[in-house]
Amino acid sequence: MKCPHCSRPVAREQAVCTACGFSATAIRAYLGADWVRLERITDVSGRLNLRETRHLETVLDEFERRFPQCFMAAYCGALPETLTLPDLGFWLINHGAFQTHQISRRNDFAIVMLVDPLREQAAITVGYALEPILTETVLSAILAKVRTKLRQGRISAAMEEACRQIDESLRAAGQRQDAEPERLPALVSDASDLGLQSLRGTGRSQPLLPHAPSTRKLPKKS
Amino acid sequence: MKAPLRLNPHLAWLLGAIFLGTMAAQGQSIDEELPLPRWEQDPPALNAPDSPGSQFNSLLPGSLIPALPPPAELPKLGPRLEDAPSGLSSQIGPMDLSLFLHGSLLGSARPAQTPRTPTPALALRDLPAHFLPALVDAPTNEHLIDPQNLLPEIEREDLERLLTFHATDARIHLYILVLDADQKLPVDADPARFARGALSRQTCCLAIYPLAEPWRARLFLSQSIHQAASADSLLDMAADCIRDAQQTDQPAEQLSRYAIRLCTRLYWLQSTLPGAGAASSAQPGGRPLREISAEATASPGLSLLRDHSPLLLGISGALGALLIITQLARLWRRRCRVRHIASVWMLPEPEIVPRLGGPFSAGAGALLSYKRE
Repeated sequence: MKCPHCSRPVAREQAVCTACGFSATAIRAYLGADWVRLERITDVSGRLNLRETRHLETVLDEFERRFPQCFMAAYCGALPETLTLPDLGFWLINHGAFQTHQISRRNDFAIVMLVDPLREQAAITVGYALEPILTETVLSAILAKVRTKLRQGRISAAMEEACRQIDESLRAAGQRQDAEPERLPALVSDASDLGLQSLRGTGRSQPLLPHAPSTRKLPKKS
Repeated sequence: MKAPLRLNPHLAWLLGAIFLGTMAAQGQSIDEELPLPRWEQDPPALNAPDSPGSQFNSLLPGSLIPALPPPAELPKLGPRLEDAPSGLSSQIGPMDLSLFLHGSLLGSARPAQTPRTPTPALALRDLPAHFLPALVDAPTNEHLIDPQNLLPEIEREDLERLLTFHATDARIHLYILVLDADQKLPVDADPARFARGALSRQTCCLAIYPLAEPWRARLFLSQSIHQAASADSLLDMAADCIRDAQQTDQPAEQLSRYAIRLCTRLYWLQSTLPGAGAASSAQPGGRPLREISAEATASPGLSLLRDHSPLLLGISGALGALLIITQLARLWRRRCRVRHIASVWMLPEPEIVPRLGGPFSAGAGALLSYKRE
């Protein structure tokens, strides 16, 4: 467990990095404390064309289908010198409401891949639930495999390859189950029960917030 | 003992006179119905030289001096056909010599037969199995093999004489197997075993000839001939014999022409063979007889393919099995992929202890700098 800012070791339940003073409070003071709505693919630098973006969305959709608990997001943009990619990744997972097909996916199962084409750096940040599986060693090996694609400027291809590598790592640790068939909603009060969102407002009584981490485990099928 | 019968002389004279008188009366009545031909002053006129049988007009009765021009002062030489009484059949004409002479002598075409329709390939039938032993047991010195007695006697004897004469004078012996028009040799029949194996012990040619269908004739030659002569020349020889046989419509004559032509071509062919001291046609491990076919001229490798057909069959079978296995593996992988598509993976949910104040993440991960140094 390392500090995302200075990579110094951080103990469990430590609220502030003793080496650099990094914490959630510190980053909120820099980037803000509000929740932000984010697409799964955020391309600030314009390095991804429409075709690559659509293809990457397909890949991420398939990833989410196979791992109903997880989701993966991608960020591509230049950062200021005072901010590192792990810092941004830390803030995105803790304050980002990612537009996934299932809003109920928890951010502690999130995976965010960040690429700074100007610094020529790439980073992968994961939530708490995936830390035992996607360790720093595993993620470093995955980034090393996509190094060539990144150097060639094929950012979309690098993200797809990283997603595939993460897929393999998670499958090795997960338990395969048959996909649960669709169930008819027991009660339909409005269109939102059928997955349809009205254009008048958000269609929800509460603002869009990521679900808080829950200790309740999902029921496992025998 | 009885006394011999004696006739009264006077009674005998009386009976004879009565008989003669009766005959004279009958003759007189015939004369009235059928008058005798009259002798003419003009000599008989010669027929046109291009009419059928005109060259044999000298053989007609009454022509005492053949080939002489008919001068006007020549005495009349007998009755003429055009003076025949009208009571005779009107079909008999002065030119219709074919009724009296054999057609081959006239040198003219006999009444033309209807062109034979080739037997369809599907209608061909194998030579009955009970004839096969007769082919194997055929005498070695009988070069005409006709177990079904398809040929007429005269043509058979002529052909046998021809083949016997050919055998005495030629190095390549010729055997002819006669089949019926709609027959073919069974596939499993080995021509090398015919005539008690004589075809494999000497340099020879076997012609399998369906009567009335020369275009289906097959020729088998010894290996030494195939090695000495080119495939094109052998094919030309076979085609030439068939063409010559098709000059006539008579089945027996077709076979006769075919045999004569083939004998001639074999005479020409034997000059290409190596000397008499060369190895015989029987070669260990190989087929003693080989058929002349168009496939041999198409590609020299086809004969090699035929010789190694079992090996090729095995290789093709192995490739086919490999292809089937590959397709089955693809189907299995596709099935597994479909099954994976319908599957999801559930991850364990560990106990979460927040760090650095982050509710969902402590920023754990990895960083890579891919800048070229």
